[in-house]
Parts: sequence; structure tokens; C-alpha cells
Amino acid sequence: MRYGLIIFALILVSGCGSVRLDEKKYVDAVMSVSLRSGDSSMFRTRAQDSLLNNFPVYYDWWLQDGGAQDLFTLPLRKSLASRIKKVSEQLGVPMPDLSTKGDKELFSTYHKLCEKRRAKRLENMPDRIVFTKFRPFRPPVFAATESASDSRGERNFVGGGQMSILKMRGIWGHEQLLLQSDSGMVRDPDIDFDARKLLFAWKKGAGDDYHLYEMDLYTQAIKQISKGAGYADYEGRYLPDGGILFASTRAATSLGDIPTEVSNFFVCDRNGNYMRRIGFDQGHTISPSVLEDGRVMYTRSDHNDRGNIFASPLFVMNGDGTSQQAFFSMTDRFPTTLTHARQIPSTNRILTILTGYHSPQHGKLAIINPEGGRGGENGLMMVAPLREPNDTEKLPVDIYGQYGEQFQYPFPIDRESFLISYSPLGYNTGEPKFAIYWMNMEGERELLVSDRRYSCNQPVIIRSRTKPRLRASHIDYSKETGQYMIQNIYAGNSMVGVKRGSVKKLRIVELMFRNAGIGKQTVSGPGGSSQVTTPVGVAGTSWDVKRILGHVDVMPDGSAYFEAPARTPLYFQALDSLGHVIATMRSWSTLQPGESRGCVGCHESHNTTPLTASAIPQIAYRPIDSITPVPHLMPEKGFSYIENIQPILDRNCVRCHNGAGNTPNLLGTLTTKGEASKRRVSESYITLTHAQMRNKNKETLTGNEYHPDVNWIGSMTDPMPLKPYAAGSASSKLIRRLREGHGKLDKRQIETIAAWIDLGAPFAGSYTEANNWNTNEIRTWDYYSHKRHVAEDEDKRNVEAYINSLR
Amino acid sequence: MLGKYIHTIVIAISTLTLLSCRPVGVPSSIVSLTDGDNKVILSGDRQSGKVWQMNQQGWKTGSTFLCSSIIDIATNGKDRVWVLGSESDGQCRLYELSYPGMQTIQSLAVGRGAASVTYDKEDDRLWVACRDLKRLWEVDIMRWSVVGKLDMPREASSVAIRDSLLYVAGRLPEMVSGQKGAATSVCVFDKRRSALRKTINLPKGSVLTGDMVANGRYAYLTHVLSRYTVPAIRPEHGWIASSALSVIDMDSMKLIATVLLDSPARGAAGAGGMAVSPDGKELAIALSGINSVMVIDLDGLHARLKSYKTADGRPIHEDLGFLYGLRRRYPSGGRGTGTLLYLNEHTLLAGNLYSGNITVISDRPRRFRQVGRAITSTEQGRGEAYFSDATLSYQGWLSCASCHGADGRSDALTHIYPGDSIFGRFLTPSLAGVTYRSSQEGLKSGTLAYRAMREKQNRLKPSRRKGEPEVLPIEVTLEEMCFEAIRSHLFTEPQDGEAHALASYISSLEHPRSPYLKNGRLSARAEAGLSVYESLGCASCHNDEKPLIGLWKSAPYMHDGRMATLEEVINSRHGMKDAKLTATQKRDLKEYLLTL
Repeated sequence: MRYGLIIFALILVSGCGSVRLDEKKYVDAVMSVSLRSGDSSMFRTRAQDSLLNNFPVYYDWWLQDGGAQDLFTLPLRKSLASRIKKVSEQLGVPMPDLSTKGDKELFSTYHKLCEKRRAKRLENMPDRIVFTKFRPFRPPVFAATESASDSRGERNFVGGGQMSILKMRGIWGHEQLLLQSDSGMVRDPDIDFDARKLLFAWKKGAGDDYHLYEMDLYTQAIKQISKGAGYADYEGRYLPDGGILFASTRAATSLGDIPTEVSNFFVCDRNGNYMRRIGFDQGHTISPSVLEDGRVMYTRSDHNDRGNIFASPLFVMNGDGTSQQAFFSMTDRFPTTLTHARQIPSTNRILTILTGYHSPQHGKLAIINPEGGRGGENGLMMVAPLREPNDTEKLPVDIYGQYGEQFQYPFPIDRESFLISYSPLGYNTGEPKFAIYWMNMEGERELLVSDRRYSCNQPVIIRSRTKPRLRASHIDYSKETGQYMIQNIYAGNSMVGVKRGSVKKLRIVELMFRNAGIGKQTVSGPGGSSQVTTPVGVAGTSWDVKRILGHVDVMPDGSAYFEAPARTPLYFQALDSLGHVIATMRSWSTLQPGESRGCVGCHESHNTTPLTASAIPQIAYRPIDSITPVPHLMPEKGFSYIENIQPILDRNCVRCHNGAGNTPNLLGTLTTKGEASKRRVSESYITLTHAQMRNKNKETLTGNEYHPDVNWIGSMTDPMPLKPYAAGSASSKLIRRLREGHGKLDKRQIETIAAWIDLGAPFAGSYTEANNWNTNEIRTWDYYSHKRHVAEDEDKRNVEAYINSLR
Repeated sequence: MLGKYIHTIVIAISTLTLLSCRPVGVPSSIVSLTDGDNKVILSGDRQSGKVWQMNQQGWKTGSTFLCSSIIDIATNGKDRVWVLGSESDGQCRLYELSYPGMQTIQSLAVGRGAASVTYDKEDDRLWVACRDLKRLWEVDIMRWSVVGKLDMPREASSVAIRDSLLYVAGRLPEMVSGQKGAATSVCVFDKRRSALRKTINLPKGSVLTGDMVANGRYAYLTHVLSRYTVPAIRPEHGWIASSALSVIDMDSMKLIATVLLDSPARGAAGAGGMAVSPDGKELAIALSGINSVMVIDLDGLHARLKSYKTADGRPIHEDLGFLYGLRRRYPSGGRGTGTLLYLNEHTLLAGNLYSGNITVISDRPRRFRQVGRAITSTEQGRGEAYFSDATLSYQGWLSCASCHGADGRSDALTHIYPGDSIFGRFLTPSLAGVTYRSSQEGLKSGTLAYRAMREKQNRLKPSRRKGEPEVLPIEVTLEEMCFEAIRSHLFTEPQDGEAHALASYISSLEHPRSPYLKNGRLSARAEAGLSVYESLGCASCHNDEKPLIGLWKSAPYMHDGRMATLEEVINSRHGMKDAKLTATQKRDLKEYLLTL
């Protein structure tokens, strides 16, 4: 076959197949390596690796009962005695008399005790689980695992993988192979509510893309659900409404930091029909899981006007895509990234992996109780054993949690225990290799299944679940808008100290995302260090192209109620009477058509109710507002320095500021300085952003976001909430001079310049504007642009078909 | 003097024509007595009018039939049991029974609408709350007669006693539901002087109080905390209603704080009955809406109240994380968990009104005793159970009863609903007499009827093309309104049979007869008021479509609740054009309106 040998047959592997239990060989192997002191650490590593590979259960007992080191440092007899004592105590049985026993008998005694302990621990172990085998993803950034067949920037894919069922018979599991893909990869199993169907993603070989497939668990018949070359569809989850939600590159956008695909969420029915986009997000949204109340929890990379490294919080939304909102660590440096989150049954608690940004998806394991807080160490406990994070564990670093034991893909069984893909030795034996374990919150564990060739990943219990009662969906695809209602914009910690009545308007800005990554910059700041592709301006300015849709009114009591375009990523800026930004949203929000969304204020705690002391909001007495476009800010397109700002300078400034003498150069001449960015910028733009060749190899033109003349909220600022008037036009000396009459600019012209500063000083109003691309790069851009058009057309057709299906 | 006093009361009682007590399930109450070394459990049955006796193991040991329905039971814990019951005609009686034997020693008529009986050990009194006339009768047990009365806050039924003070919690606010903030309050009476000592105001939106218990220095009160000043566009985070516990310091007669029982993504609707553990360290709260029991660590609660700082400096009653680590939730193993009883420190019993069983609360609840028939065996009964069932709502935040009360009346608050392009403010209506709505001019776009019509239109002709105008159907049935109520008020997709059962229950609700009628007839003044009513032509608008029935209990007035009293409505000259009324006419008119 084209994609190599694919076998999907039912192969029953004998009881010892996946967890070898040849005690004699194991004892011989241990004795041959034990106490070979003087051997190099390389030897130890290899020995450990070999023992874990060949005798996973035995050696894992050895490790968990005393650690790895004493095999090489303590006499074997002493090591065994201490282990037997420990397990006897755990079981509450008397310590056996060891004095007359030989070493091999001691092993036997120890293993018998361990088996007893295993039986006790596995009392609540489910009968059947499904899991996958593949080499753990090693992506450039944690979320980029799409391996699209036409991808340029992602080289993660290594073919070869399997999907199996583990059936428990007593304390040992029996593996049943469901699907083997020798040159492809099988991932992301999900079980439907009746436990009859298995949804998964399968890429059959390097030239194929991940698509969704469904297997009937009784007949093992496989049905393909999604298709389309060049689009990766993965992480499919059954929704309570009968549909499927999945991550896909069908949005055809590219990351802002590395030139690779972004995945957003889509939904379709069980046959792949009416596939439509519900996530309109700048970065990745991955790792969805359905909560007991029907909501979907997921990881979203979220960095508008802030650094990307510490901005991958957990989000939550309703199954139909409405009410997308942050759940945990939206505005904290720690944890760096949260992913693989799953709800612990019948509780509010979430079991999740903590990892880094430029990291694989495995890392440390934690439990979140949102009642205790919504970020940082509040409401968070490290797991196995359950503990407060210590100072090292709390360190907000980019590559987080990649030391010591490694965890990935937790799947809670009940309040106390869970399945986990776990590597006790982590990077100590090279690239971490994972096996599936039963584990409890205290870290007691039993290895269930491992494989010599692959890591075992993504355990999912095969059991039927209660379908959550469906939240009423008020989505209406015949509408193009939804509604926002803000109770009181002055509430919340982003508006502390702002006088009531000082917010006059909200500026509504749309984010526009890049099709492909061309050219690069390096940028760093309090929010970490990163690369930027297809830059919008000099380094440190806006991540994305932005379009000002217009303004809506804010009532004197801080309430606002307005209609806004649905299926569009929007963010809001609170403006004072001069049109200066008081506070700006460093994220974005998306409505589904017909959705009615309510929030209290800016950054209110998600653990609070709406404000009760305040009176009925003033918007309750007036009709809904609609966005009033501001013609001179060109609402029809992205905000362009060339089109919006330079004409003002040309008319009012360049007569004096023409680059001659000591005056600042405000000419619109385009330069190719900072060549690697592949974006031309004008002399005046460099002047106003005070940009210099600032990084080590002098290839990136970096703006000075802190300059008193023109300052803005830089692209690598901290994720934490900023104080009102943190930066922007209100604190710009340039704007003050202009208001004092310098250059005789009119009000609109000053307002335009203020808006430009408050958008984060972007240069380009589209990703192609003033580019410096060669033929190849233009071809690349066109290829991905075409891909996006095709995807958008398909989405449009699918929405039409969906509307018709409801008739 | 006293004789005259009693005489007045007897007249008052004989003229009480209040809401007949609906049988709303069993067990209505559970109490326990100590019988030697054993405990005896008594449970009242609203359906059969029996008091069931059980031993500690849950074995039934006897039953006593008293009247058509048992409302409440009190006991001195040893040899006396007092049972408040009602007859089929709605007349209520207080029975004194001896234990053992369970023989009726004597009984006393207490009129209609009695809601609770509380035993006052200190003064050997019983306090009987009569909800609709806002009266608390003082019954002298020795003399077995009513010896006094207190004017209670509106619809009060929960009473807590400390020394000489009586704490009585009102159920509904007695004010306009407007900008200033409507809430009910707790009145503190000096019972020996029959004088009001203090009124403790609860936070804005506090309505529909459930139960009040005293534990040493503190009194705890469950109630709904309604967010009526916030548009009701989502239920999450208590945007419409939340479930609250108010903690009152009985030494200083002050409200310490009101804490929320809900979690950030999990409502705790229907907080009602409570019990304090024998060691005084735990407070158990029945959450009838979600069929659960919450147990709160009281030492932890009071320690946290002393030092707690809330998120963003907001008040404690806006913080859904306040009880983090201090509460445990248990499934109750029944439906409509309403009453609780600690048998000992380790055994907590829950009485489940709609499934008619008593269960033992632990991680896995076990059945203790079935004490009557589950009311869900009939369509109307199922509807009644759904009416208070918050598991029909998204995340268990609210049930129909969170605004309408378990009996379909009203929370006396105005809520804000989104219309097509503007919000509307509507007073929660009483559901008695609601049938169906027809499309008529002036039907506001935020109303449920309008939404139901729009949904019906969508169902008949789904997915209009863009720009195509909406044409509303002519009428919607009560079932269609219930269907829409689940969708837009409880925020979930209705499941089979729910709307039908709800409609069946709602259509069974009747307006109680006005207590302002004298022997079922109009008084002379009310007769005069009727003439004024007729001469003004009020009936030309207030016809069968817009009836004025139940005005005596439905304050505040007008569709948006902008007037607190009928005087205000009359003085506002609502609908009277140029007619001029004398003070007497106004008084007579009011007298008449109160009898409707």
C-alpha cells in the first residue's frame, strides 16, 4: 500500500507481551549490574534504560520503592530488605524473616508483596482502556504538532505508531492491537458517550495529513470523517450535542513567531458534514476535553500586545463555541503552559500538565481547583505526591518542567486516581520514554503497559458516560452579529483608580492573522524572547495587523451594550474624552452568530458574581448600540502607517522635518533596514518608533516602546494585567506637543496618530504591504493565501448547507 | 385586656382565608425524640396527613393520622410533640401529642396559611407563623391558647430563638424593586414585650428565605440572592440567582456576612432546610434544587469571616470561592431534599420531598426509609418536582422556584430580560391562573410569551433568509411557554415531557382566596370600593385578559414593579384620566382591590 504497511487486525498479545514478568531473567540482569561501582554514569544510564525496557513492572517497583541510585551504591541484600520492609508496612503485614533466605528468594518475597500491593491499588482500575503508541512530539513550540504535508516550518513527524486496547484481567493487562501504522501515526483517541465508537486522528504517512476517523469498537470497522490534502484535523472530541469538535489547520493561518500552521477549533457532525470554524484565534487552540457540564476546556495561546512565552492559559467554552473565556493562568507567568487538562469526575477540579512554551507537551502534573484562584499558585497543587509547588517548581521559565520524571496525558479515574503516560526517569536515559500507569494523587503507581519500541500515550477509559444536559444554543447562522453587554467597565483590577465617567467610548478592533511566515525578527522583553515572522512593523510593535471597526458608547456608569460582528476576533480599548487609551485588552474575544455575551468589567476575577451593589445599568434603558465606524481611521481595512499616518506627516510636518540638519526625519521614504524582516519601513516610522539595530547580530530593527515621545505596550510585555494608562498616547510627549499646537494638526489628525500609538505602532495595514519579498517568498505567500481562500470558501458553503439542513 | 386581645385574635383566625396548603410532598419535616437510650424519628407526611414513627435503623414503628396534610412538627425532645396540620378546606390546626403513645391531647385552630411551628423551651411557648397575614401567634403550652401575636415581615416562616429574642426572617421584600435595592430582612423581637427590637437588612436581592437555625451565638439563614439589577442573559457565576447563607451574630443583632453556597461553575440552587451537628461544629444545608446536601465546617467559616480578603475587594456575597475548602457536597439520594436531621455526629438524615424517602448522607447515600409515595408518580407531581429542580438548568444555578418560589408565586422582584434590541424590566409574575398568551399589541420583546412566539415561528418556518422579517404566530400554549422557559430562563434544551409536566403543574395552581374577605364576602367598605371601581370603568381594561386577581399578595405593582403599595397605584391616578377621588373613595377602592 501507498503509505506503507498498515495492519489493523485483532492481535491478542499474551499476558507477558507488554509487561514482561520473567523473574529469573530479571534477577540475573539486576545481579549483573548491581554494585558495579566505578562504572561510568553512561553505564548506569544504559543499564536503567535496559531494565525498564525489558522488565518494566519489576524495575518500576524497584524504582518506586527506593529510587534508582541504590542499585549501584548499596549492597543488593540491603536494598532488598529495605524494600521488603517498606511494602510490608504499606500492606500492614509483618516483616518476613529474611535471615535464612538467599538473594534470589528475597527477590521472590519482594515481588510477591508487590503483587499483593498491586492488587490492592488496582481495585478501581477500569476494565478497558484505549491508548496510542508513538514517539512523543518534539515540536518547536509545544502546540505545533500538526505535521501538515505541505508545512514549511514544522519537522516533527516521525512515522510509526499503533493504537491498542488494554484489557485488564485481574492485576495484569492484555493488549489488543487495534491499528498499526508503520509509516504513519495514530493519535488522540476519544470514546463516545455510549462507549461504542472510537474517534481518532490518523496520518498514514509523510505525504498524508491527520484526518479524523471513527472506529466501531465492536466490528472494528473504520470510517473516515474528515478529508482534504494539506489540512490537519486532529484532537477530535465527541460533543454532547451529537457533533464533533476538533483542532484543525483549516483556518490557514500561520504562527506569529515561527512559520508553521496554527490550529483552531472546528465542529462538524458525526459524518464530517457542516464542518465550520468556531475558533478565530491568533495562536493554537489545542487539547480540548469535554467537562461534565458540557463545556469544553482547552489550551489557547493568547498574546495580543503581550509576550507569547507565558501566555498559554486554559480556556473554556460551551460546546457550540459560545462563551469562550479564560479559565486559568490568563495573566500569570507561572504556569508557563497548561495542557492535557481533564476534569476529575464529580468535582470542579482539573488535572493538567504544566509545561513550557518552547517545550514538548510533557512536563509536570498539577491539579487545579478554580475556587482557590484563577492563576499562579492560587488554586494549584502539584500532584504525585500532592503538594504546594516549591520555589523551583514556581519558577516561570520558558522551557518549564523538563527535568526529572515526566508526565503527559492524565486521564482521571476517580477523585483519587488516574491513568497517566509517565516516564519515571525522564531525560535521564535520553529522550523520555513513556509507559501507561495507574497512579494516585500521592504518586503511588503501577505500570500497566509499555512497549520496547514506542512510548505509550493518551490513555482513555472505555466506558459509557452520562451525557451532560445540553445548554440551550441560541446560535443563529442567519445572523452576522452577536451582542456584548458590559455591566461596569470600572470593575476589575485593570481599572483601579480610574474615575467613574472617564471612559467615554470603547474602540472595537479586529485582529487580522497572517497566512504564512515570511521574514523574521528577534524580539525580547519582560514576557520572554521570541522570533517574529511576517513582522507588522519594527520589533516590539504589534504582533498582528489591526483594523479599527469603530467605537461604541460607554454610559457614565460604565455599562455598554452593543452589537458586534460574529466569527471575528475582536479586542476592546477603553478611551477617555480625548480618545486616548486608558486600558487595552491584551487578548481577544469571539462571538458566535446570535450569541449574547455578558461580562462585568475588565479582568474581573472569574470567581465573582456580577456586581450587586450597583444600580440597574444605564444601558438597560436604551436600545442596543452598534459600532460607529470612524471614517478617517479607515474601518474597511487594516490600520496602515503608510495610508493613515504618513499623509498627515507629509501635509503638516515634512516641510521642516525632512531629514536635513538635526530635525527628526519624517519623510515617507521606504528603507530595507533590518533586512531579515523582509518588510520595508519608512524613515518617519523609524524616527517615531525610535528604532535601532539593537540585537546581537544587528539584523533586527527594534523600536523603543519606552520612549517618552512615543511609547506603547510592547509585543513582549509581561502577561500580568497592566495599570491604567500604562503606556500609549496618553503618556506620549509627541501627542502633548501636537495638542499644544505644534505642527498645527487638526483634532482628527491627532486622534489618528494617537490611535496608531495605541494599536502598538504597527506599520503594515496588511501583511503584503511594503514587503521586500523575493519571487520564492511571494510564491510561498500566494500558495498559503490561496489555501486560505479555499478554506474560507468551504467554510462559507458549509455554513449555508448547515442553515439549509435546519429548514 | 387580655380577653379582648384573644377575642380579636379569634375573630382574625376565623376570618383567615389564606392559601390552602398544597401537598408538596413528603416528608415535610423530620424531628427526633430521645426515648430512653434510643432515638425515635418522626416524619410528617404532607400527602397522607400522617406522622410516621421510625427507629434509628429506619424501621417503621407506627403512624398517627391527624388531618389531611402535615405542615410542620416540633417537639420538646422527650414527651411532647406538636404537629401543625391542615384540613382539606385549608383550615390549619395545631395538635399536641404525647410520647410514647402518640395520642392527641388537645388541638387548636390557627386559621389558614400556617407555615411553621417553633418550640420555645425558655418560655414554654409555641410560635406559629402564618405566612399570608404576616402574623406570628404565640401559643402558651400550659394554657393551650393563643396569648399574643407579632407582626412579621412579609410571608415569614423561619423563626430562631435566643433568650428573650425572636429572630424572624421575611421571605419577600416589601418595597419597590428598583434602583435602591430590594431585599427581605430579619426582624428581631423582644418576645416578652412583644416589641420589635431591630430590623437586620440582608444584602440587596435577598429573597425567598429557606430556613433559619440558631447555634450558640449565631443564627444561619438560607435564601436566594437574586441579581435582579443585572440583565438575565446567562446563569453562570450567579448572574441571575445564587444561593446564599446569611450569618447573623445574635449577641450584637448584626449581620456578619452573607456567603455564597455556589461554586464558580456549579450552582447550589434551592438552599432550604438546615441542621447543626450535635457538637455544633458542622452545618448541613439541604440543596433541594440539585438534590444534594452541603456540609460546612463552622469553625473554619467563622475563622475565615474574621480575616478574609475577597478578590478585587468585592463584598463576600459576590465571591463564589469564599467557602473553598470549607464545604463538602453529598448527593442526597432523593429528589427535592428539603429537611435535615442529625441523628448523631456521624449520621445525617435527609428528607426528600419529591421522592418521598429519607436517606442517610455519606459519599454514597443510602436509603433509610420510604415515608410516602413519590409525588412524581403523577404528571402534575412530576411538574411540581421539575418546578424546583435546578438540574434542569445549566450547571444547577436556578430552578423555576428560584424566582417564583416553590409554590409558583413571585419573588417580588423586577428582572431585566433582553429583548430584540432593548432590555425590558418585568416583575416576576405569580403563575396561578396563567394559561396561554395570544399575540397582542404591546407584547414586549423581552417577555417569555414573545420569546415563545418567536421560537414557535422559528420552528414552523426555521432559518429565515437574511433580512426576512419575523411574523409571530397568533398564540402559544402554556406548554410552549414552559418549553421556552427552560430554554431561556434555565438555559438548557428541554427534554421529553418536562414542558408538558410543568404546564400540568402550573395549570393546577390556583389563586388563594384573599384574607381581606370577611367570611368570604366583601366588607361594607369593599362594597363601596367596588362602586368606585365600576364608576371609574377599571373593568374596561382589567378584563379577563388582564385580571387583577391576587393583588393582596402581589406587591410591588405595575409590570415593572415601580409602585410598592396599592395606595401609590391609586394616587398615581393610573388609568383614571381626569377622575377625582376623595380620600374615602381611595380607601374604599383599596379595600376592594385587596379582596380580589
